[in-house]
Amino acid sequence: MPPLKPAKPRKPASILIGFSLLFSLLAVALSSGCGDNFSDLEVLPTESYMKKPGDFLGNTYTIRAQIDSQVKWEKGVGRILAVLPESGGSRLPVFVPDEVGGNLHIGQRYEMRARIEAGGLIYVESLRKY
Amino acid sequence: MLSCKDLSVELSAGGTRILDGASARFKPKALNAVIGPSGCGKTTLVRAMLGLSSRLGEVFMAGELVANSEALRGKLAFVPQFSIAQERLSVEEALRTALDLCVVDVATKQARLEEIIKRIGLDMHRDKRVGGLSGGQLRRLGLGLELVGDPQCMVCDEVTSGLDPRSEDQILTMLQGLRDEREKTFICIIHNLAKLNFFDWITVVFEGTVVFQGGLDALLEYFEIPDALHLYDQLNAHSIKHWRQRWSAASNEAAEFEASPTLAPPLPSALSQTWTLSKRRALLFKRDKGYWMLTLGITIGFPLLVTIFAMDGLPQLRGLAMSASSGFVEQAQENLRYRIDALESASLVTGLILFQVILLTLMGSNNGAREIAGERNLYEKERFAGLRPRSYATSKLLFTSAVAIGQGLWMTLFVKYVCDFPGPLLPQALVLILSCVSMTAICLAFSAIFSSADKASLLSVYLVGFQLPLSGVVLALPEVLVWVCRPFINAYWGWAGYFGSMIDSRFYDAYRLESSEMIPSPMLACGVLCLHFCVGAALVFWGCHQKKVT
Repeated sequence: MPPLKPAKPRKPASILIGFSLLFSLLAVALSSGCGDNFSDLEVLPTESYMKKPGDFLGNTYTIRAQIDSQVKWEKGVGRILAVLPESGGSRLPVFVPDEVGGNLHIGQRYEMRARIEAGGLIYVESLRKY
Repeated sequence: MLSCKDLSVELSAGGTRILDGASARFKPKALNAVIGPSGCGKTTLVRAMLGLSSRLGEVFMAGELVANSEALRGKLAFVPQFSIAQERLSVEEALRTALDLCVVDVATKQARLEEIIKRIGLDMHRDKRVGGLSGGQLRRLGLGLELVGDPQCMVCDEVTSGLDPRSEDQILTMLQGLRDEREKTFICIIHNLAKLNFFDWITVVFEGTVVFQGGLDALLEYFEIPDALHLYDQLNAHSIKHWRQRWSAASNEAAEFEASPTLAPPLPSALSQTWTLSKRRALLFKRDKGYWMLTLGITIGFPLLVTIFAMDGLPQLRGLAMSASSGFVEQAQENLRYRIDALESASLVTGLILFQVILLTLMGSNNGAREIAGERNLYEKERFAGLRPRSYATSKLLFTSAVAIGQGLWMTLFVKYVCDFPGPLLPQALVLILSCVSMTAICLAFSAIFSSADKASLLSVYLVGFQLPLSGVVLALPEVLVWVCRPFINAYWGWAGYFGSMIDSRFYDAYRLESSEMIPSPMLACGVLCLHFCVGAALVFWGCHQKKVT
């Protein structure tokens, strides 16, 4: 007696493929969202920098930090901020030119693209709040 | 016409057989009765032949092998015991919708509507709501709904059971009329042995197999009984083995009735079916006062609930002096005051946002959970008659999403302007709308997957209930669980997307004072919520493709 297929619903492979695609997209979206635009840059090694700033002259790094206080502000030039890096370590002084910084407040967190200038000055080229 | 050979149904693969090697052939252009004591397997036999349950054996329609129920579409209709139609539609609307779902030609639809409504004797009641019809009228409507596709054969499951003798006679006379005038074949499961004189061909089922087929006179002679009312006593007088052997010797299995194969008529397009169902859903929504009052109530009430916690708007948050211009003690005091203020403000704002999102997910659960499971039998019946699962799924997604969009938009506008939430309107509206729409789609998927509306509702409520703790916004999740749970937690993405849009506000800074955790952008949150919707929609389509007949 040949078994007849019961009125079995189709299980289209397209649904499985669709699910795989969706979860792949989800993974991509999450990984891209967790990353940042400056991720191609090296994170500033704060401990080494504090010991010997001269070793880093001319290099560009990324710093993720929270504003701790404003050290000095000069109209038309910019401000020097003391920031607490997320990576840990002591406070860092950074210079934020007027054209780069927006409304800065203590406690805000920024991702900064910074270049080490003469004298070890951390010069912020661009920043993004996160 | 319809016939089967060695048809068996097992409770589980290899388990007990509730139908065991039944062979039967039904007479075309005639009234066929299927009789037998309660629990003998009449309905099992019919359902197995229609492909509505798993089976072993062969089924033929006009000599052609029938692989599954889809192969019977347009050729055979199934009339359930109780008329399955939307109670809030009028008789004419119910018939017109059924016609729109399975007939293409407009002129044919109109002519057929008039013919059917007269034939089933409901011409005078065409504007009466289905819910207000009597038992007999409902059975006639049930027959009328299956006549819309003009099938060659109709299988009727106890359509006269429980009716008074007059109503029973009316229905059987109507079937005879259709047999004589339209050459239709009927296969009717009946209980009333006193009405066998209406039928041309009688099939007796006993203990899971067919033990006789023939006319009424032949039946009386075969079972040696004076009238049909003595049949069951006689059946019980001998074992099933006896009846099997006797019928095996008496029947002529090789003899087949002649019947010419028929072609299934073309169906309206998937788009047309979707449009018909969407119109019907909108009409039912309008007429279901209880449902739309509940929907309206939660749509208006939930945002009010949110604003109660911030009737005077959100607090003003002062900042800390950027430069130190005072003494150490003053600075420390100022710092402490700011941190306390910031903590309170951040807690209020993030709490309100999460509250909005949770309430929207609750609305989503209400939108989707009962939508399909609550009318599954009707859907399966319409599907058997030719409704495409994808049209049905699309119409449900369209309707529930439209409700969810309205709810999300209203929540955004009302709360934003009453509480004066900072940040751009568009991303905030988009995030909240998507939060409600995606949860609606997920709960609709539960409704499509589970045959019980209660199960689907319960699971949806659990899902909403777990949104708050698993989002990790209010209660801190263990580190290892954070990114295991969050991708799937709608409320987290709704909250994060909304709060992320407030990145330029002081409330965001206040929250950031103590939290360094990544907060996804509104765009990322919308992307994830869209994926949630896609998963929900895919499950709705999958669930609608499954057969769930109760």
